[in-house]
Amino acid sequence: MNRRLIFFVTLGVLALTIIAYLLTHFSFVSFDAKEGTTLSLHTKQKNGASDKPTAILNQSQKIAFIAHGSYRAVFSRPDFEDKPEDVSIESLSHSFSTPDLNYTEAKLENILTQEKDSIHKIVPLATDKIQYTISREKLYLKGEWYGATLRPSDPSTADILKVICHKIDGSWKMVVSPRITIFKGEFPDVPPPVISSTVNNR
Amino acid sequence: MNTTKNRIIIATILIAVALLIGTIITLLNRGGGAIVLYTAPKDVTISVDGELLGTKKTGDKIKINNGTHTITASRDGFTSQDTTLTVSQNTESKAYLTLQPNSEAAKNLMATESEQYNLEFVANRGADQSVELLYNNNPIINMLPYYGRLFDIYQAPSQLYPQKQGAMGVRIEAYGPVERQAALEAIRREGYDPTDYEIFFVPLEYKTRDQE
Repeated sequence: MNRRLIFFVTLGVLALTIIAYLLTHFSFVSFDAKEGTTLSLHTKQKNGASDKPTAILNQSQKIAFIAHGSYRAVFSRPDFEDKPEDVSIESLSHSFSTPDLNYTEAKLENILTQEKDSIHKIVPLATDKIQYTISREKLYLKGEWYGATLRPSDPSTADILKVICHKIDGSWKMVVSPRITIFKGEFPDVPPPVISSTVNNR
Repeated sequence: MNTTKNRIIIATILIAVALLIGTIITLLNRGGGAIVLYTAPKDVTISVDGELLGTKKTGDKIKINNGTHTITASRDGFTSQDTTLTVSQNTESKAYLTLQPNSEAAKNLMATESEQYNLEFVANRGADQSVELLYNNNPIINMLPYYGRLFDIYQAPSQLYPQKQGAMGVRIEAYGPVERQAALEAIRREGYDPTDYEIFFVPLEYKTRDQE
């Protein structure tokens, strides 16, 4: 009787230990998949992330049970840039929501050809003395941000300038007037990658 | 035979208990770092994110969850002071808090030799931390001053955020448009992004005239 009791107590302790181990070393990962977005979780290794995903979550498979650790979460959707994100999964449950993805370069170039005329109408191309031409123009994110370089006819006598426009409620507005360089801290409403890419696109 | 069975059972129990204790210890050690307080005066009341922790002495360590926290030091007769620190796993951050006396009793306390020594220590270390913040926020400082061909790049006070701790500007003195672009290019070449810095341009010829 005593031995049986010891056996069951031991079995109980072992079961509890296994459950405790699972709960402290594994995690339920959920993904609130929207608009056809897929999430691939890749184990992070010393030399980058593994090619083969540990788990793939989408609208039909929204939950996975994976070991704790560092992962690279890659969100993907057709016509949109993949968005990688390094995450550390250490808690019992971890949830991902669908992030805001940006269009691919090809898609943005396509939109730019349609938007060019209306953007050029609001970009000043001349001052009293200097005539500028627009170059290195580019759309960013979902096509609502525009950055370009204004090149003077003679760059040895006038500065090369940078300008940023934003499409709000269907119409384009110049949010950063032409200047030599743009400080991210001065324009907190403009996404930093838009500023950095516009200024450093030379 | 029975003895062997008993040994197996006892060994299994011991392993199970060890695993359980190990798991509990792992759970207890999760998610936090510490903040070491350096305060003048030496004894102050500390609050973290608005939650009162009670009286602490300078040098005391408080355990805290990972993340950004606001530490407030207060004491009767002194103006409260706060600082914001980010704590990460198993690391120690240092908070330097110097309270200004605003009553006679507080001024008398701060005039004692022991408090004077402590004040000097906390103020100096606090200043060192400000310099460290300036360097951390503005790594471009490592390349300044920079002397180029018909342009110079200097560290300057921030014009946009003159009161902000750790803020600074970058003054480019350049001869003309080509040199202004060359100065930006020099910044990039040194591995810095010009858009991370508040850059303002000054004509180089003005400086030359002033010097004359």
